[in-house]
Amino acid sequence: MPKSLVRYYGKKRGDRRSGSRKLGNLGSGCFFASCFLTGCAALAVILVNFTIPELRVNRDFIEQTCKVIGHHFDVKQHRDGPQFAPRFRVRFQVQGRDVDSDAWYDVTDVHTHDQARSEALLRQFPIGQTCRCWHDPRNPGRVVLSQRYTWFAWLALLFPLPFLALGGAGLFYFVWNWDKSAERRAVEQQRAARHDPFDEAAGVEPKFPNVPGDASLTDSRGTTLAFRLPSERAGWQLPALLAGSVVWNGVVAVFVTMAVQGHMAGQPDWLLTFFLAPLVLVGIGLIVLLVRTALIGTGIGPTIAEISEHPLLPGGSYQVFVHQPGRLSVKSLRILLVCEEQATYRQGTNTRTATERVFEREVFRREQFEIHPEKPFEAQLPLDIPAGAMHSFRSDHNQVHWKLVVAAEAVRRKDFDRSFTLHVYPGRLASGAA
Amino acid sequence: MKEIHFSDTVLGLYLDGNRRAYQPGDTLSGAYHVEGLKTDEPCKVEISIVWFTEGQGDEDLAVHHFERINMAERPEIDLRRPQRFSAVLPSSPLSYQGLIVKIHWCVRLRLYLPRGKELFREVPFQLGSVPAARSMAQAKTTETVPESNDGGEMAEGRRQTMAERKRGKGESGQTADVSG
Repeated sequence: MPKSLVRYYGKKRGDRRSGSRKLGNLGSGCFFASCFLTGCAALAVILVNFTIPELRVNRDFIEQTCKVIGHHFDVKQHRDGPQFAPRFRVRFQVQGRDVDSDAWYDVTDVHTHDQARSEALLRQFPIGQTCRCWHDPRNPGRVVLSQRYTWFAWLALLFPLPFLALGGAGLFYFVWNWDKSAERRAVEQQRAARHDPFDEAAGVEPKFPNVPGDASLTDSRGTTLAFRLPSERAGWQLPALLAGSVVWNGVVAVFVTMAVQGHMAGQPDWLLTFFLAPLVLVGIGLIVLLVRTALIGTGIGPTIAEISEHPLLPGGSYQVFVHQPGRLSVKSLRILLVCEEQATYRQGTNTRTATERVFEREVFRREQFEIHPEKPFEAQLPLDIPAGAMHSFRSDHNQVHWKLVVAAEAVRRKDFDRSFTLHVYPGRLASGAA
Repeated sequence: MKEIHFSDTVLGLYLDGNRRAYQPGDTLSGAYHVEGLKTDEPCKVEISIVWFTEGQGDEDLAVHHFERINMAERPEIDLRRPQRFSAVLPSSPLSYQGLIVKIHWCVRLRLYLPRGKELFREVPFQLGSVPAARSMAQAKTTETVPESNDGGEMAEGRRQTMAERKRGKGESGQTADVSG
């Protein structure tokens, strides 16, 4: 196919598309433009028919005394049935001259299916009664018998807002990026990011772009070595499981009580019973998981890892200290230096992350030993970062991630592994392979 | 020297000394020119030094150096003569051939001609000297499966083609992307 022809359609995964980028952008632009125009049209209709007339009645219309000389229903046929609104015939004076005019109850002249409402309004203004009315100074034939603000005329203004916001923002983005190269867009995004008011490092060119800063790794002093490494596993697992288990089983318990009471009263609700059975099993599973997690947490204890320096450099030699308290019989305990690549991509509406381990070195291994509360496992080991190793890297969708992993197999306990992030900076030039 | 032809227009982009490998802190310099351009033809030129990712994840792109010249505002510049550019390369990220994450550096030249026509030119280069990563499984079998076998070469060739397709370009550094 000639290169100059536009490719109209192509398979797409995430941000990757093999079709025409310009055509795609144009389609997005049309979508946002239609959203914006829909919002504008809706806003115009609401302003013209409701908000502005109501504002004018309350601000501009001239108050008069009039006499009701006739009234009737105005009926509109609607597919859901007839709709009613009261109509009045009034007589009033403008500049000493009698004017007979039709009048609405209010300026919105809303027709409703509620005939009783219209009847009540007709009774409120019987023929021959003198009452107040307001007429349009530009058009004396436009008369209303009620001057008030309604919530609808103002609340309706909110309706077009989502269309205007979505369409306007999308259209702005479309126009802003139209016919700009990927590099130019990236430059503008980088400049904007540098002025992020929520970023502490805003406005400062980082010394190592796209290498994670080590502030989070050096803010905690170690007891044996210089820095204590934070564990990658968050400590929220046990509280979250506890909360989930309590909520789930609490709700299920209410229905179980109802079912049991029915059985005891000789009026069993079998549908409820069968419906509850899997929910009860899930609840039991949650409790088992909670107990197991608690036992692992309390039995194994937190793993502490410390390191002599940070950040690390390729080819550098460091010391690492690992402390593992608890009460368990260990089949094997390994300490690994690991490098993983992580790639995040969108597949349809899902965001997926792929991980590939590209380096793994066992720096320590010990088998068949016991850990007691009074005698925790402790080891201080040399840790060599391979010369030529790729540095830690982080961008929006891709990462190169170094970590220290403590992996253990224990007797009568679930295997566990705990990871500690390491940041390797670009440094000494290498000859070896990562 | 690499040149691109589009109608009568020739786009050239060169790195000094035809160098393709740099270390952090090195100065990358080169020149570009456009032949066959009419003197009064309004056009815009963008020269940039960028890195981008390739692999399983969505593409990330960042610009280290960017210059844009609108010829309507800079009539004194004659694009038919070599235009110099240079930049000090940053400390990171270094070029990397990972398994699912790859980082490529390149110099890109874009020429925007009237009626939406665009010429594109790209010269890749290496920043740093990080060796390519190998999969854990592959690393264990490397001794028995030579890297230079046909399967290995074919796989590498396929990756390169997919990468160029993704960017909508032809073979890296040798063809032009034309849209209108």
